[in-house]
Parts: sequence; structure tokens; C-alpha cells
Amino acid sequence: MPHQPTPSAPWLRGLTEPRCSRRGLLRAALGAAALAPLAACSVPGARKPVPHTSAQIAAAVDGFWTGREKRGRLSFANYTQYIDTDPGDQSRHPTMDAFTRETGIRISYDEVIDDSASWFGKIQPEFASGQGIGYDLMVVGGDSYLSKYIELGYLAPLDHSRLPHFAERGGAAFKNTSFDPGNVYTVPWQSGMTGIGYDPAKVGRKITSWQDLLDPKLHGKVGMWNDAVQMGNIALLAVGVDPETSTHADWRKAAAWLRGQRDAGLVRSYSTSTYQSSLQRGDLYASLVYSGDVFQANQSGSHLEFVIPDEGGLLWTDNLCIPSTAAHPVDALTYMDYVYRPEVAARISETVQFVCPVPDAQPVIARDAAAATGKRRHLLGSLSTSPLVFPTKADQSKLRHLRVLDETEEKQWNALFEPIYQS
Amino acid sequence: MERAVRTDLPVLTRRRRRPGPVLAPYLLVLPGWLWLAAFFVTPVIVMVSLSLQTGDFIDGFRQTFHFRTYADVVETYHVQLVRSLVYGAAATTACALVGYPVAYWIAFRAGRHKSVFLFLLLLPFFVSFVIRTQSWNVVLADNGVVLGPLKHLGVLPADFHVLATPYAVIGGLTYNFLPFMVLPVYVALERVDAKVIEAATDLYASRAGTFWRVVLPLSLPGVFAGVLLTFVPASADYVNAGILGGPSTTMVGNIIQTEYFTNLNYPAAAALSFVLMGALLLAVFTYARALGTDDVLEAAAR
Amino acid sequence: MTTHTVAPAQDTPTTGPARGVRRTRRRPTLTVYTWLVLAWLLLPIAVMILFGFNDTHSKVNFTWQGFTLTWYRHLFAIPNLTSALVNSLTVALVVTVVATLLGTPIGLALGRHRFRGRGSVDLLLFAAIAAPEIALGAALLSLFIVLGVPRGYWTVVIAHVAFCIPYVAITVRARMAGHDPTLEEAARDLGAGPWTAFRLVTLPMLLPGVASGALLCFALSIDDYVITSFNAGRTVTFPLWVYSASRTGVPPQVNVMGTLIFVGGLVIAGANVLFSRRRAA
Repeated sequence: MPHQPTPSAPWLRGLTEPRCSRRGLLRAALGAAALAPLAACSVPGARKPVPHTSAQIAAAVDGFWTGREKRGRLSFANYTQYIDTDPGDQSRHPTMDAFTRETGIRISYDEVIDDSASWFGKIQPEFASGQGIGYDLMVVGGDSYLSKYIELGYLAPLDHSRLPHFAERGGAAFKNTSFDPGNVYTVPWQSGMTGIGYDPAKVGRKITSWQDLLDPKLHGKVGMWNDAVQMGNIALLAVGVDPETSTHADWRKAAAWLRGQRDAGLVRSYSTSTYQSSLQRGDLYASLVYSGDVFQANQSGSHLEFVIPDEGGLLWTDNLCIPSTAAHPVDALTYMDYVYRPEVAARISETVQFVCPVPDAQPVIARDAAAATGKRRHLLGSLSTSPLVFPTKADQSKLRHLRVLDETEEKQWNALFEPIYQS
Repeated sequence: MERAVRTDLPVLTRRRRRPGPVLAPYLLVLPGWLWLAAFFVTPVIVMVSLSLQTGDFIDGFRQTFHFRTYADVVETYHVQLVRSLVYGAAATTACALVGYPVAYWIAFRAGRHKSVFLFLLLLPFFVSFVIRTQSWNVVLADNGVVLGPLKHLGVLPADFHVLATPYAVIGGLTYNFLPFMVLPVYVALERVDAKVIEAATDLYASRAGTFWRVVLPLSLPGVFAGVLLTFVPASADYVNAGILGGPSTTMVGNIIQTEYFTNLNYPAAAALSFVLMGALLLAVFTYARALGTDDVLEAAAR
Repeated sequence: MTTHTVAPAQDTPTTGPARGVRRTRRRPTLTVYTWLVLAWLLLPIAVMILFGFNDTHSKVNFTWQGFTLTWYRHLFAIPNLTSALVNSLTVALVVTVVATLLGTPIGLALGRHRFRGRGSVDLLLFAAIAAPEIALGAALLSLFIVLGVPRGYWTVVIAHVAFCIPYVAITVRARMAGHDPTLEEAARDLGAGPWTAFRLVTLPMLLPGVASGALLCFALSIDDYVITSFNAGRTVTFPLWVYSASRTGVPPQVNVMGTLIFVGGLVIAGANVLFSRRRAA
């Protein structure tokens, strides 16, 4: 709440009379001068040497994991609503309970992450001050922040000898990402697609292309995001460029495309926080969305459609990783492997409804559907065949990955794309 | 209403001075003052220091007294800076226009139920600021409870919308800060002596004349306090713009937030915060000078 | 939440200025207008309370589906929301105690004593209140960044205490200004020691002001979004949780908690008014 006045006469009078005498100001200035040494302070950097060659990596893995033991506890930081819940009780997470029963490892689970940037800003000081961040496992988006964590040496290299299920069951499309070649530090948690979500009843036709978001009929009804990473990448697709191989000139073209869309009055708002509810309320007819958004909205009675436009959609991956300061890394690694069991991956997908990184979970969901009744049967049935959870080959061929940016490129990128939504 | 005591007049001189009270005020003030020195004054100085550093997040920032940062942020974000001040001024004006009659009515017409009305005015503060702002998203939805029926009757065109426009943001600011305007104005009006109004009436002033030439001038200090209490928070607010805004309603607060938390560009963020703070305080003091509140107060005190 | 804005109204019998004015025929325009403005102010609150009873089946809560008490029964079904609320309440309590202890003496000194440096203390309080919230939040964040202090629960407490002290001090000072210092002198002359004089004369007189200041603190702290979001680090308070939940839709439990906070505030404020009336009588 903004500040609250105390409207009693003397205090108001205090406000309505200039009370700062010259002498008072002088004193204040002198006091400020006494604090001058503070001006000499600086903010230390955080870069650490990072292993590159396979031998260096192997040594780092050995160095980290030697002598580590199971502790029977684990704390896990996640994004909101990003794990399975009991249909009858939102606060229970069946797969975690089963994990505890099986291994004896108790999990304290917190949904504390809003987005990569703010999460990075929150935990970085704790890393920098050398103390633990209180988590043994966290979910990190596959974006430039992940590169920052790696460069700063904040992540533990993974011991793949203890991740047999990942090796066996992880979908090939989700392994070996450009952000983390060889999955040295991360394994996928969930994937998702960025495409267009729209209300066919309001739009009155099928949307098939990014160019449809320039249709004058959608004037003031298109939702875009205040997220430079996603916006830049989809604009690159819109101008017909594969983001991963894009050049600086392509970025400028993409930014021009977005500016054109804005200046034509098509965009109603740039917001990652309101587009979902606006789309359901009908304040937006079409919007940039994640694949899971539409599925969830339709579960609560909307009739929206999700489309991967012809020019391509984005496939992004949120990853599990272990902070190098983790107090219970072995327990975290055990859990990491656990979620690659098809039946566990299936349970998680049944709730979160994003793209599942374990293809073998599909038949499990189909079995669950056959065993369920009523509404739930319908839900699981549509999930097991949904291209939003298990993308078809045709869809997969249309999906592209995010551009990996280094420090310098990121500055240029932000300078191009941020002004579009910060106008 | 309490008696108007001139705090700026010397207190009655004591007949006997005891040795105790010489140190007493300093001891009383010290703990709180230390807290404010450590967590209000020092941070502002550190913020200025940080704004003059260069570097990046990964490699750290070093003090280089790089004043160019200020020029850069003002140049890059002058649109948003000006917009924030314009929105703040618009919301303040709206608060004054909407709030003055209400304060007047409560002070002069509410009779014995004054405190009830003041209480009603304060009710919104019992509800979280964020929830109140989000409520407008529900109330003003394009086909919601307000606009839906109007469109249905054909009063409004089908594509009419309030949300995601500057009007929504200014409206939200007005809504959130209105009580800050009404309360001080009410207090000032309360203090207007009935005899003065009676005198004006006896001198054949019309009702309007009485208002324009007696009541309004006497209540100006309250308006001034109200302007101060609405303009500053309204200009610096970013919650309303974030929840109710559209494609070009970004305010400087949103930028500061992005620079601190998304771009981790601390010098730019600190510089922008300091520019905002400076601009607002400058505006406040200029306003205080221009209005010459002293004379008004003199009049009120007589 | 300035409950004592209501209290002073009882200090004198209500001889409203209107009494001296020659009665002319009242036009109801202004009355209607005032009611309309009040309705506008209270509309979102009504919406919030109403949708706490909405029988919605999903996270989306903006179309009326029918009346239910489910959300009152399952108030604590969202663990993170519950812990955010607990954080908000505990922070507000700690802040209220600390800021009242630190702010009251300042108010006392300003209201009672004339001393060198009084002007600069005044200026400091004025600056702390007049400065925009985001600047306070950003300045503190800068300090913590430079010192390398991780942001969390205690940095929120520090920030809240810093912005609450001026409010307590000013509330108490306002209370002192209407009070005659010779009373305490008299007590001293009658042989009371300084502590006894303070306890028997000054303190009872101060208490309503301190209570108002403390209430104001509590209200400011529990509702603060801007300064908290800058300095909270990983700690989540109720307003922060609500803001970030808006992406997927604010669950009805938020409406219920908002309603309960609202009612609680009403009760406390009402009690405060009654209490000060009793004292005044």
C-alpha cells in the first residue's frame, strides 16, 4: 500500500511549511560528506574457471561427487504449478510421496520461482557470499541465465553413472541442448512450445501463421509478452529465420517486425502476467502462449486453440540442476533419475500438461485413462493423444530452439527488443 | 478536531530549568535516528555511488565516476520519465477534482456522521493494494459487468475497451490515491472558522463568492498536502501500469524494476531511481515555493 | 488505516462550521455525488468479497458460478499462499514493535523539547515520507548489493522499519502538540521523580497516539508491495504472492484471506475508536 497520511493538524502543517532551513541542509550535506568513503565501494565480479574438455569435466565430476553420501533429505525449488498434484487435494504431490516411501528421502518442496531473471537476481548474492542457497535442486529455464550459472560455476557437474533412467528413457529431442551440450549440468524437467493461442469463435477463422498477428481485424486484441528472450525468438521465426543461426542483421529485422505490429495498434498489452486470464475473458482474441496454457484454460471451460505457426514455433526446455553449494546433492541426483521413470513422468504430465521429455510416458497415460472414469477419463484420454504433450513428428519438424546469447550479444539483444514492450 | 496549535511558536519558557532535559531529547531521538541514518540516508548515498560505477554483472562493477550513465538513461528513457510525471500529474488533478467536493461535503454537510464517512473513505486501505488493483481487471473486462451490458445495448462500439489504455492506468492511480487527497483537504476545511463564513455571508457574499474567496483559499494548504501525497507516489508507481496498462503505458518504475531484476544493470537502475527521486523532490519544492504556503497559513492561523 | 483521523473528530463536540452558516435550501447534488464516489471506492472491495464465495472449478475466478463456502473451508489448501500470509503477518508484527519503540521517542522529543538539530530530524522524517517508495526500495537494494547481503526475511524487516519510523514519530508528535507540558512540570513540582512523572502523566496521554502509530505501522507493513519486492529476495509475502499468481489466475483463497484481513482491520479500527472515545469521556 502506498504511504498513508496522518492528517492531524500539526503534521499537515509540517508538510505545508517549508521546514528545511539553510543550516539544516548544510548539516545534511556535511553528514553526507562524512559518508564519502562509501563512494569507494564496488561490487565484486563473480566469474569462476569452468571445465571445458571432457577430461576436465570428468575430473570435475569426480572432484564434486567423491565422498558425498545420501542424507535422507532434499529441498527442491520450482516454478508455480509445475508438478503433479492430487486431484482432490492441491497440496499433495503423489510422485514425491511415492519417492519418499521408496527411498526414505524427505522432500521439502517450494514453488518460489517466478521467472529466470528474478530468480537469478535473488539467489546470486547467496552464491556470491559463499553460503548455500538452501536448495539442492532447482528448475532453470534454458536461456542465457543458465549460461550465467554455468559460467559462474554455480552448478554441480552431474554424475551420469547415477542417472540410468535418463540415459535410457529421455527423449532424444530433449537431450544435448545447445545450452548445455552433453547434459553436463542439467537434465530436462519439462519442455514446452511457444505458439499462438486464440479463440476461434472471436477470430472467426483458423490462424496458421505468425503473419496472422498482423491482421487488422485483430486490432487491439493481440497479446504479446514483456519478455525479450521469447519475443525476440518468435519474431525471428516470423521473419523466416531460424533463431539458432540468426545474425545481428536478422535481429534488427525481427525487431522491426514487432515494432510494425505495435505501431499498427494490434497489440493490446505486453504482459507475461495477464495474457492467460485476458484470453479467457475475451479481452484478447489471440496471444503468444505456452502450449500448457491453452490446455489448462480449456480444462476450466474455455474453447481456445493452440497452433504452431507454419514458419515454426519455439521448443524450450526447463531443466533440473543441482547448485554447487547443495547440502544434499546425492539425494537430488537420486530424485533427478526418479522422474525419468515413465510412470512418474506420466503422473507429472497428467497435471502440468506441458511437453513431456519422456516419450515412453505416453502409453502409461493411455493406460491411466482406460482405468479412470468420467471427466478424468476424458481428460487423460485427450492428454495421451495430445500433440501439446507429445508433439507429432510433423510438429517436431516445425519446432526451433532458442538462440544462445553470450554476454555481449545479450546486451545487444536486449537493446533491440526491450524498447518494443517498454515503450 | 484538535486545537490548532502553532508548533512553530516558542513553547512557554520554563520557570526552572532542570539539568535533565538538556540531554533527554538527544537520547530519545538517537536510536530511531541511527536506524534511519543506516537504512535511509546511507542507502541513498550508496545508490548514487553505485550509479557511477561501470562494469557488468559477471565481472563486477568498479567505481569509475562515470557520469555519462545519467545522460544515457535520461536519453534512453526520457519518454517514460515524462510519461510518469504526466500520469502522476493527471492522477493528482483527477484526485483533486474528484476529492475536493467529497471533502467539502464531509466537512460541511455530513453533520454528526463525519467520522462514519471518513471511515468509509479509509476502508479501501484494509484491502491489499495489489488485490484492489487487480479487481479492476475483473470489473472493467471488455465484456465484463460494466462494459458488457453497455455494448449489448449498443451504447458502446463492440471493440471499445478501457483496460490496457492510459486511461485505465490513470484511473487506477486516481482510485488508489484518492483518500490521500480527501483527508488533508478535509482537515483543512474542518479548520475553517464558521465565523469567517458567517462574516462573508453578512457582507452579502453569494454562496459561490463565499466559496471562491473565503473557503477555497483557506483550504489550499490541505490541497497542497494532498497534491504532495498523491503526486509523488502516483508518479513512481509501477503496479497500476503493470496490471492495468497496455502497449505504451510503461512508467519509469517498470523500467527501474527491469533494470535491477532482469538486466542486472545496477548502475543504470540506480541512476534512474536517483533521477526519479530528484525530479519528484524538485517538483515538490518548486510547487511549495510557487504556492507560497506561508501566507495561506498566516491567514488560516488568524 | 489512520484510525486516529477519526478519533480527533471526537475531541471537541461537533460544532461543525456549517452551524454558523445561514441555512439556504440544500441541493442534494453534492450528497449524491459523494455517495457515488464512495461507491466507486468500495466497488473493488465488494468484488473481492463476493468472489471469495464463488463456486469456481478452476484457477480462473472472474465469472460468477454460484455461491459456496468451500474456499473458507479450504483456506489453507495452498501451502505457499499460507506461508506467504504467515510471513506477512510476522513481518508486520516485528516491524510494528520495533518501529514503535524507535519512532515514539522521536515523536516525544519533537513534540516536547526544543533542541539543536531538531530541524534536521524534521527534515529527515519529511524526506523519508516524501521520497517515492520505489526510490527507498531501490536505495536499500543498492546498499545490500554493495555490501553483498543476500536479500530475505530480515532485509524486508529492516526496510519496513525504516519506512515506518517516520509515521510513528509524526503520529506521536501530533499527539504531543495538543498537550500541555506544564502538567508534567506540575507533577515534578509535587515531588514526583522524572520516571514517575512520565509514567503517571505523560505515558497515559501518549498511549492513544502510540496505538494509532502502531496500527498504522501494521497496516503499512502488511500491505507493502513495492519496497518488499525490491528487498525480499526469495522470501514471499502475501502481496508478492498475489501479484505473481495473477498470471494463471488468482485463486479464491486469496479473496477469502483478503476478506478476513479486511474484517480484522475493521474490528481493530473499531475497537481503537471506541477505546479513544472511552478515554476522552
